[in-house]
Amino acid sequence: MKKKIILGLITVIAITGSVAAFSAFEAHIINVTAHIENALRVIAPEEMTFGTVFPQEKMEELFLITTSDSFCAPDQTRVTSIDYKIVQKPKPIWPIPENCELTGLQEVTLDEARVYCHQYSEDLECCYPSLCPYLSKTIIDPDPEPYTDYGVPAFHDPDDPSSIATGTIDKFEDPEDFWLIDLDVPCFEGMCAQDWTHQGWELDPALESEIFGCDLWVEVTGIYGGILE
Amino acid sequence: MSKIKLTLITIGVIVALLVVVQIVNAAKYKMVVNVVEGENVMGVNPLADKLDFGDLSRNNGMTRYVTMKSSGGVETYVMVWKFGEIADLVKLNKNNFVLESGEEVKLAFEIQIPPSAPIKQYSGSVWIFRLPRIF
Repeated sequence: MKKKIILGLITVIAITGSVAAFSAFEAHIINVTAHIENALRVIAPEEMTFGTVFPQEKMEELFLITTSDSFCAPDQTRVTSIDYKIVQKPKPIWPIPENCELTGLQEVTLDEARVYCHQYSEDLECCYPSLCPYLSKTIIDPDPEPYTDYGVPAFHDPDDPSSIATGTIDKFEDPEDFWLIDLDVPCFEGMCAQDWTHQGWELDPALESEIFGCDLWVEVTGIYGGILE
Repeated sequence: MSKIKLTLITIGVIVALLVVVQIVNAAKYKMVVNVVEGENVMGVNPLADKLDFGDLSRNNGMTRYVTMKSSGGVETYVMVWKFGEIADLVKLNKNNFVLESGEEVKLAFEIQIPPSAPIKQYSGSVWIFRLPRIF
């Protein structure tokens, strides 16, 4: 009996030792590290559709950027503030239409279609005409000084770095930011009303009745404030 | 004990050992999302201790990233397994692929909250296996 127990113990120790040794050896050989990024991307709701609109009409949508319950938990003291930006890029037509050259490629994912449209926004077979220049991002109830949130008016160059709205939320001082996304519908060239004030932003009349689109998302760009480990 | 039986037991032990080693070496993260009331609510938690998708209202989505970097001398086969009730909501941009030596890859875990999702917390885990590609 005693012999059996000793043999069993030796077996357990040998197996445990082998697992530990193998694990360390394999980890050393392959040496692949994996870590979660702080940066994340919040995808704007699919429901943010403005429907059929008319030239020089104004449409509004609201959304709320806030800290999550888990971030606000009292025992979470590592970070208190989050910087973010609202990014905009041309939107792919999804599912991909048959006449789009991406159709010939195998299993194009939505992300790949997005990347394509971000590079070739002028390809209107695959991408929607861009709605981005006409979307303003305005903070509702601006924070008291010092200001940390900066919106962007409509009729801006979406490729200009200054056309990116930015904000900061803090779990104690400023836990939420309400943003108003305002679509300032442009008019078509030669068809604008007399009170039109955005000269140069008129659309090509050939785009009349087309569906326009813009990919909007929120990206976390920095975290700080607490006791970072 | 016959030789065949002994050989089979030895092979079984080695295979079991290799499986255990892979499980031990896998990168394991918790995943969690809190589906909340309201419209267009995006509560974020960018901390990197777990794949926390924060508080999201229905129809919203979020992407979190895991960066994998190979500094070893051999190619590595990467395989990702998702578990738990959150698993069906999370899509992965890349799975079952080979990571070359010196290569860096960003895995995107995208969650999309369906319009019919009940208001509650969904949780689960993700295991990222890193298998040496010997053959």
